[in-house]
This record gives sequence, C-alpha cells and structure tokens, in this order.
Amino acid sequence: MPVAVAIERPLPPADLMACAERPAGLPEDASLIAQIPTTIRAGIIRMARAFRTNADGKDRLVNWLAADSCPVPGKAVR
Amino acid sequence: MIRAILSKLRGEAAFLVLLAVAGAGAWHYVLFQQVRADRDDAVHRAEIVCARSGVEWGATDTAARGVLCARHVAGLVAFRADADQQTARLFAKAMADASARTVKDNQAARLAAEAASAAAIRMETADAEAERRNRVDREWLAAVNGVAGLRPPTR
Repeated sequence: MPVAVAIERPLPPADLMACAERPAGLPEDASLIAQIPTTIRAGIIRMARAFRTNADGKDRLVNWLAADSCPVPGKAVR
Repeated sequence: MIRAILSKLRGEAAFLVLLAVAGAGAWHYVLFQQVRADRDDAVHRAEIVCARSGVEWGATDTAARGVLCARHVAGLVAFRADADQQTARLFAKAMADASARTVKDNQAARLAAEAASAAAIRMETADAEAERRNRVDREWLAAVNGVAGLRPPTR
C-alpha cells in the first residue's frame, strides 16, 4: 500500500450534476410580427443573456466535476 | 659466569618449555575472551536490530537465526522503495489530471465567451432595427434565441 492514497472526491447529488436545462426558445416564424415596447424587449434580452450565462456556467461546473458530462457550451448551440 | 647460568638453564629446559607453552596458552585465552566478548556484543546488536524490525532473531536454531529477520528487512526496504515510487506516480497523475482539467475548462470558457459575444452583437443590431421600425420580426426573435443559446421550437 502506497503512502499517498488517491481519494475519489465525493460528487454532489445527482440532481445537481444534471446538465443545464435548455428548452426550446422563441418561435422564429417569419409570419410572427409583433409590436413589443422597448422596455419589455430589453427585459426579454436581459433574461435571455442571463439564461445563457447561468446555463453555460452550470455545464462548465458539471464538466469540471465529471469530465465530458455535458456538451461544451457555445459549441452545440448556435 | 654466563656459561654457568647457561649450563644451569640447560638443566631446566623442560621447565622453560612448559613455561613458554603456558604463556602462549594464557595469551590465547585472553585473545579468545576478547573475541567472544566481541561476538556476543555483535549478536546482541543484531538481536536488537531484528527486534526493532519486528521479527525475532530466532536463536533456537543456529543455522536459521537471522534468516527470517533478514528476509523481513529486505521486505521492508522493498516496501519503502515501492511506496515512494507509487506515491510519486500518484502525485504526477494528480497534477497531470488537474492541469488537463484546467486546460479543458479554459477552452470551454473561451468557446462560450466567443459564442455569447457574437450573439450579443447580432442582438444589438436586431434590437436597433426593431426600435427603428417599432416592430419585432423573425430576425429579432432569432437573435434573442441566440443570446439565450436556445433553438426555436420544432413545432
């Protein structure tokens, strides 16, 4: 038995190790044309940006703990 | 006068020889005592060394004594070398793993940042257009999906 022993780091619970949820986004039909007030548009954009930041960060965190568990952020999406 | 002494000694030759033999014997006896003391001391030290290594010297069988002990000590030396080697290998592997992990994460972070920045530029353009025309169209919706990193519903 060696003096130094490799220890498997305990992973967080499985539900925390799930990859970020990425549901379908907004429909992109050419027929959909709407008027949206500027402030609401800005809010939608803010939420979209935060969603990406959180989801990419979570996937990176899971990949850090367990390699290749989640698709690499920025690669799978457009 | 010297001749007189010599002739007298010649008469006592047997005694002189006996005296010389006795002297030599005594000398050897003294030497033997020293050798035996040295030997006992050496054996005693060997017993102590063996006892510290955790195995009895085994004095009951003269031929076998020290054999178990020597084997045990050889085993200890081998263990020490093996442990050092395995420890070094474990440390090297741990360092390599950590380094590979960091490199991989840096790469992922860079890709994510590039994609996010490209999407943000597209969003800015689309939103400016929506603001100008006061109308949200397909390009704006697609840009929002891009900023969020989402695909449109497949319906």
